[in-house]
Amino acid sequence: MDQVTLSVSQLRCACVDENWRAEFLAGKNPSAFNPCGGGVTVHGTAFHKIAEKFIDWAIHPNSVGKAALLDDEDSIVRQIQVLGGAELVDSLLAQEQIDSAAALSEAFFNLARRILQLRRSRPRFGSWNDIFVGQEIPINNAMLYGDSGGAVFVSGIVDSLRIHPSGELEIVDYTN
Amino acid sequence: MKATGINPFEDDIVTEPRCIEGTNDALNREAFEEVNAAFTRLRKQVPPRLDKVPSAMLITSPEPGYGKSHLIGRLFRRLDDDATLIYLRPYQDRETCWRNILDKVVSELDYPDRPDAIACRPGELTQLGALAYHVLAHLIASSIEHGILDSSPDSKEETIKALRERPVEVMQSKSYKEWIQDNFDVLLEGLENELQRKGVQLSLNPQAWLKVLFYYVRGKSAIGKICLAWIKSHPLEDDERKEIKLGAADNPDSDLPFGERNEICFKRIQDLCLLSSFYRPFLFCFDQTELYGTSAELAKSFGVVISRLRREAKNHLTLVTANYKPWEHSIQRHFEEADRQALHPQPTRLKGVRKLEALEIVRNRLSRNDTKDAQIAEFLERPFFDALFASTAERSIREVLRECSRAWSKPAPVDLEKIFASYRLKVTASPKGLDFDAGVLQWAFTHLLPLATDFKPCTFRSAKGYLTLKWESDTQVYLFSFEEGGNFMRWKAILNEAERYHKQSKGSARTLFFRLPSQSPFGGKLAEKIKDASEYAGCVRISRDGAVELYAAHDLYADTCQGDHPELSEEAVLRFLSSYFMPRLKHFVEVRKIPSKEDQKAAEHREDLAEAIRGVMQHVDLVPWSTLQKRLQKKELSPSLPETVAACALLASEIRVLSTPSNAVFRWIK
Repeated sequence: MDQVTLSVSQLRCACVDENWRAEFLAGKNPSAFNPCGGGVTVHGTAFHKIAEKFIDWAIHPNSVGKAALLDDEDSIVRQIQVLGGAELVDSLLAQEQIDSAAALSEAFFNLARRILQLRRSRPRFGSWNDIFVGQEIPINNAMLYGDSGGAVFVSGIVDSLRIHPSGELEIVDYTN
Repeated sequence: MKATGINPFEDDIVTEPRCIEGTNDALNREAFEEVNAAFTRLRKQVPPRLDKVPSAMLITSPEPGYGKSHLIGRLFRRLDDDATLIYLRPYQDRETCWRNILDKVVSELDYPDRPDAIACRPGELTQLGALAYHVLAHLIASSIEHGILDSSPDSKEETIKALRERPVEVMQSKSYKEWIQDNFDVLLEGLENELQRKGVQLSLNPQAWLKVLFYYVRGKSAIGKICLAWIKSHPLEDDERKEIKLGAADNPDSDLPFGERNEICFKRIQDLCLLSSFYRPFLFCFDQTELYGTSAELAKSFGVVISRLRREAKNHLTLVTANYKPWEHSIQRHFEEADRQALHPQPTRLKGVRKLEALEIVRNRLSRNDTKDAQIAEFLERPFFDALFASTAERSIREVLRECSRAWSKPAPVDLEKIFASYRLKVTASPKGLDFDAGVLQWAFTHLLPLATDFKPCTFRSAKGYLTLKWESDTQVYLFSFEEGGNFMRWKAILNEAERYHKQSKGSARTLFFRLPSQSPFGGKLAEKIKDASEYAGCVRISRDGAVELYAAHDLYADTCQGDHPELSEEAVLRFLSSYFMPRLKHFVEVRKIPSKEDQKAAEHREDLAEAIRGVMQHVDLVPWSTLQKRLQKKELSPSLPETVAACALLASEIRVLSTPSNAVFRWIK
């Protein structure tokens, strides 16, 4: 059996982008850099930090109770903004990087929307610990089995690991 | 000979007869003497000159450029001390014709009492000042002589002699000033009696006239302005009226129907002529008459003006200049037969210049330009002179000067920009060139500025006549008032009328009026009143540059109409001017869009949208356009980005929008 090695970002591209997958299978080496950026600087590293900060805050013993009260998109986004998101967007606006600021703001909303989906899909929600397993988790040649009988070895650092309502893990790679 | 930098033949159009340079006796000598003789006959009447006045003299030019305005300038110089000189450019609103003429008469009366100046030196007399001193001195002398006044500063004989021989000097002396001041009430009665005794029947209160003349020469310039305003029939504020000791009954009514106001203005012209019957006659010169040909009604009204002056006003000579063809085809044919009779049956025709006269005129012009004698001789021997007169014995003076100009230096292509710039310069150079002139403004807002807009100008007359022009578009109406004064009650009446039309039109009609830099701004309670009326009326303050542009445009167009620019058509000039004014329109018309039904719907939609945006933004500080759009769609709103940004303008104190043409971030700032 041929062995194929993918980074986490490549895996994400292979899952969500049919064209990327086709190119990859054709032996090419398509870029795994943000396929959605459209020429706009998206400040992925900064987003990573803010998202990480939010999750740390959401599961921290001192704030876990308060965080558990965040049960709508706006309140989650507001907290992300309070934790540095607003400051970051404002600094981009001050530099007239409107598209970047809009993309970053939109990313905060997307993050909020997804974790709210996860929360709402749980029959019982105690705290965000029910959802967030960990962040920046290194993995090395983890073997994943597909429906067609093949297997994939995945190596890299997972941005975030969440528990899917189905009980399985949701591997998160924030786009750059 | 090489051409010098300045072509001495370039400036060949006279726009201000007081400013002609180097008169040429050879030019139109016969016409000049004819008018002069008619005036001399008039002057021979014994004062007060209450006899019938001579027929109005019509001076026609076979073509433009025969020196009509130049002739008026020469007459002004010749008649210097013998006439009160009034130069009248055309009015544009026939129903306010006398108001417009009176405004110009008063403006001309405020010119220096010498024919070649348009501004007074310090302490110099104006024409009205000279008139006032002479009339008052004459009446005082006559009253003393006939025992109507029984006191005088010196002996009776000495006083009478001094007043008759040196009226201005005597009246300006300290002792007479004090004597008049001390005996003013007695004097007034005496002077009124003297007027009656001489059979001078004024339309207005004679004592009011005498007070106005007295205070005009005695008071400071602010008092003088009050007197001029009263003569113009502008209502005075109470404190102004008291400054010149006029009774309330002598104050012009601030809210009269326009027909009555117009008629009162005519009566003031009659009174001025009558008062001047003790002094010298008026010479009324109507120039640039081609502009009366813009409509049959306007032309007809001009006939009535000439006719009424001839039949109902004393002590004057009316002079009308015209180019023959437009006069025959567009103006006089619209006169009533009776009005034609007011004109002298035999028009005075201007003639061209013969070669020898032309040579003399050209020589004089070159001499004034400091050209050396040898150069002048060389220029005059050039063959173009012979060619010019080869086929005809006479040429118009302008034709001669233009040929000389071409011979002097290669003619530049016609450049309307430059021509218009030269007109602006002329207006700027004239100290009184920017005085309020309703005729010029009415012309500009009727014939010129609408060309630079989507509006259509329409003839209009409000019920009380304060609003005299209408601009219409599909959704908006502008009404215009060209009122000069600053009387509170008069403006209250104007604003009332503006409000009435605003309501009648369900808010689509807005009234505009104007202040020029030569006028004082509205102040005090009037300024407050105008501010309160901002929903339906507004004052446009025209800048000095703006006023220069409008007045210069009028002069350029008027000169083109009378053929002074044969290389230009009236249409081409209007086309040029409309494109010139298009980017400057905001300086002349306050554009305030009155919403259509669609606009109102859009405004309501914008308000609803703003409310929805507020609902989204209240809970989160920063929202990108994509998220806001999704949220609004959930509320069944699907605005475009520009619509959303526009709606946020209603929430300026709550939301800041940072946008590009395709994206935006909305920041809650409250």
